Amino acid sequence: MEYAIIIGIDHYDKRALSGAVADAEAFAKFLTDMQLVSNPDNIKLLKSDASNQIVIGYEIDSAIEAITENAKTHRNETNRIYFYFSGHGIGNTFNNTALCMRFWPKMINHCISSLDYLTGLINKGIFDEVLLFLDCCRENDTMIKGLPPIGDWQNKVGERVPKVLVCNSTIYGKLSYEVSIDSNQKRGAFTSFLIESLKGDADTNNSGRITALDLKQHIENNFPTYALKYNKIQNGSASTDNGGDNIVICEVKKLEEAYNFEITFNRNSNVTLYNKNADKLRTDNVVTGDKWHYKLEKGNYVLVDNVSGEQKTIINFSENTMGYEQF
Amino acid sequence: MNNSDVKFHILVAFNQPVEGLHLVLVDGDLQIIYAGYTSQLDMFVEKGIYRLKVNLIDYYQEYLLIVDADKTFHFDFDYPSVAPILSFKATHDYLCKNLEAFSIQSTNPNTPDRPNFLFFGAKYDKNTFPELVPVTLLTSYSILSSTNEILIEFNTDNTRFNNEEGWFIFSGKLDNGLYFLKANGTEDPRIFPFYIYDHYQTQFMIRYHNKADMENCFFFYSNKQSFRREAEEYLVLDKIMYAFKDYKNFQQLTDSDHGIIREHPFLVTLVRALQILATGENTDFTDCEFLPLPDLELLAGNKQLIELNNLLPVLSAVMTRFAVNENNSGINFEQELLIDMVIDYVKYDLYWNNFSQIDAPYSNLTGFMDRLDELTRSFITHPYIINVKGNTYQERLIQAVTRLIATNQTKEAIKLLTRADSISTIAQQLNLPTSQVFRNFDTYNDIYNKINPTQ
Repeated sequence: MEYAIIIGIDHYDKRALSGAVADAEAFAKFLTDMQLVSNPDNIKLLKSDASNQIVIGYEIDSAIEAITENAKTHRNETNRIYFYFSGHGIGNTFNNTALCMRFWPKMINHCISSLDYLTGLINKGIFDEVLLFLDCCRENDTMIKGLPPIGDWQNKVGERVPKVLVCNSTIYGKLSYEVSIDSNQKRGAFTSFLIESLKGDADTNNSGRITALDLKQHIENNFPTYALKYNKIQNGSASTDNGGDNIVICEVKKLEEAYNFEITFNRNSNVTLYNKNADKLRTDNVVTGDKWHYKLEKGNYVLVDNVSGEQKTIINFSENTMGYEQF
Repeated sequence: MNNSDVKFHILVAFNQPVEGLHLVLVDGDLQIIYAGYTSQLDMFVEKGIYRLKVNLIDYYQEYLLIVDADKTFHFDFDYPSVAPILSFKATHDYLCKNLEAFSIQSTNPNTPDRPNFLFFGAKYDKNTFPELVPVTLLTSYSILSSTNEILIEFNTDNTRFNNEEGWFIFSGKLDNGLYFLKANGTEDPRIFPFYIYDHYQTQFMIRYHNKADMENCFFFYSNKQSFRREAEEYLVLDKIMYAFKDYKNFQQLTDSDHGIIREHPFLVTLVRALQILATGENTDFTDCEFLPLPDLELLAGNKQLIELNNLLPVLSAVMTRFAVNENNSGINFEQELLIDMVIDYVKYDLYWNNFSQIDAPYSNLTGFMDRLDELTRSFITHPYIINVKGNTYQERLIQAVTRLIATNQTKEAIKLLTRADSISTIAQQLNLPTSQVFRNFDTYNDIYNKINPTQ
């Protein structure tokens, strides 16, 4: 059975965020759409709003307990839990991030420890796979101490030792950025990349499925490129434990559409699209609003404005995901 | 990719002579065909679209290579260098030439009272943020003595500036010893300690975007006595600082970098402190001259030197940039030290001078002067401070507070002293790190008072 605790906090007293709730919603939708959590009731989506006081911490512990109780009834199945957080964060150590709760920083140390919560989930003894995704800053502050889960989280129950995957949006000591994916909505650069990765971009060997190892390598090799597209320098990091590399996160759906890339033009000019072999795919006059649709293989492509000489690199990570570019 | 056997010769080089670039070349199929540390690529590849990924320290840049013939690619590497060196994008002729000329002129041995302190402030680019005008910036800076007296305030008479080109430069002659550079005109006021030594020029460099880039400003102690635009030591300084973040990064220093370190005692000192902190022993450059900067000596655990100097509980600004903990292999700062407080709360500043951080009102002025002495005596019994010879801290604190009184900032002064007195007690009672209490004094003080109603 699959379970998910998904947290998104925009509404901090100071330094409010814009895209964390949208990221959490998008991640929950992704899990639902991909049927990675087969029972929608098993997704606990905790998101802040101007009119509520979520998330202040106890809801997370409560959700974990509810999930644990349910998982016990599926003891003979392979149980997987996703723990996703989007909000402010503070780097305590290389493997521990203080995840800031709703009233941070007004309420002292209103943070939870990612490492303690990971340990708590492992020690429940009911999960076979634990996947953590943290989209938050990890600027260093050794003085902040994230709170542990309520209850007996330190003592291991049972014999199950789950496979573990932990993905961080940024390396220790560095910032994590929100970017304008479209003109109306800011989103965490990492979450946007993560969802596209799991939809198929991370299937680098075209195996039709994405393992934790695939995702790790894709984050390492390609997330800096993705962030740079939004003029941000950001490196993600991912680590596994206890055979976590072998976790099959999801199967990749084959894209049925006739095209997998849409280029929208915002200029009046003459443009050439070069394929990965540096051969011309198409040269044409374009006007603002024109769209080109292509079924592109995985690879590097280039758009060249033949009048101004401007170039734009297009990277298609997978034939099975839709790509969009503006030029 | 093509199945063609035809391969093209490509040469990729950079317009900036940078050592230690990490290059990754990705072909049209997104396969990595080269990864390694080098300053240029000379190889044969098939026709196609390539991307070159370049890393230096924590800066990252990508380049597009369209290969359809033998080609030579010359790229600019736009490392955001604070020192105007090596023709980076942020360097600009109008910055490096002026700084070099002024530096040489001001350090000419024939110049009376040859300056041993050089300050360089500049925008990253003169064409950005037109509202930022150097003549209005230079008055933000002043130099204080170790007893908190203002020695020099930058002004239009003693500081060179060019509003169009976005720079201002100061140089001056100071006696050997400890000083403070105060930056007061920003939203984030700072006080930086620095030292003046015989046969060294102390250099401070700071750049501006829409405001001062306090995160990346730095001091450099130059035994070369002047600035040169082709100087590589500033980039080596950045690499060493990156190693303070994670000692594994020390491996990125090239042989050439090691040669540069040997020539600069300040860099030797940094490596010395780095290695002692990270590995417990100093293994490199042990035969080289080093500069005994007190705060670095403190980090390196040289208590003997601490006792011999009028040293303040501060870190060099460059050190605090990368003061982080990594499991067991990185730099660990001892809890409870005032150093932690400095890092934790006001980062680069002397916490007791950073009164702008204190905004809550305080109304109890009764018995202030009596309380002052009591509080400061309590203050100097801190475990760190008692290792320092003499009453330096008490004197310094009293002077700072006295000056505050003169400028009608008594409330802040009392509150600050109250904090200094109570922090250790509250921290002990609540079993919390002192710096955590320091940061959140009001809240923890309330909790403490509720637990101890007789207080």
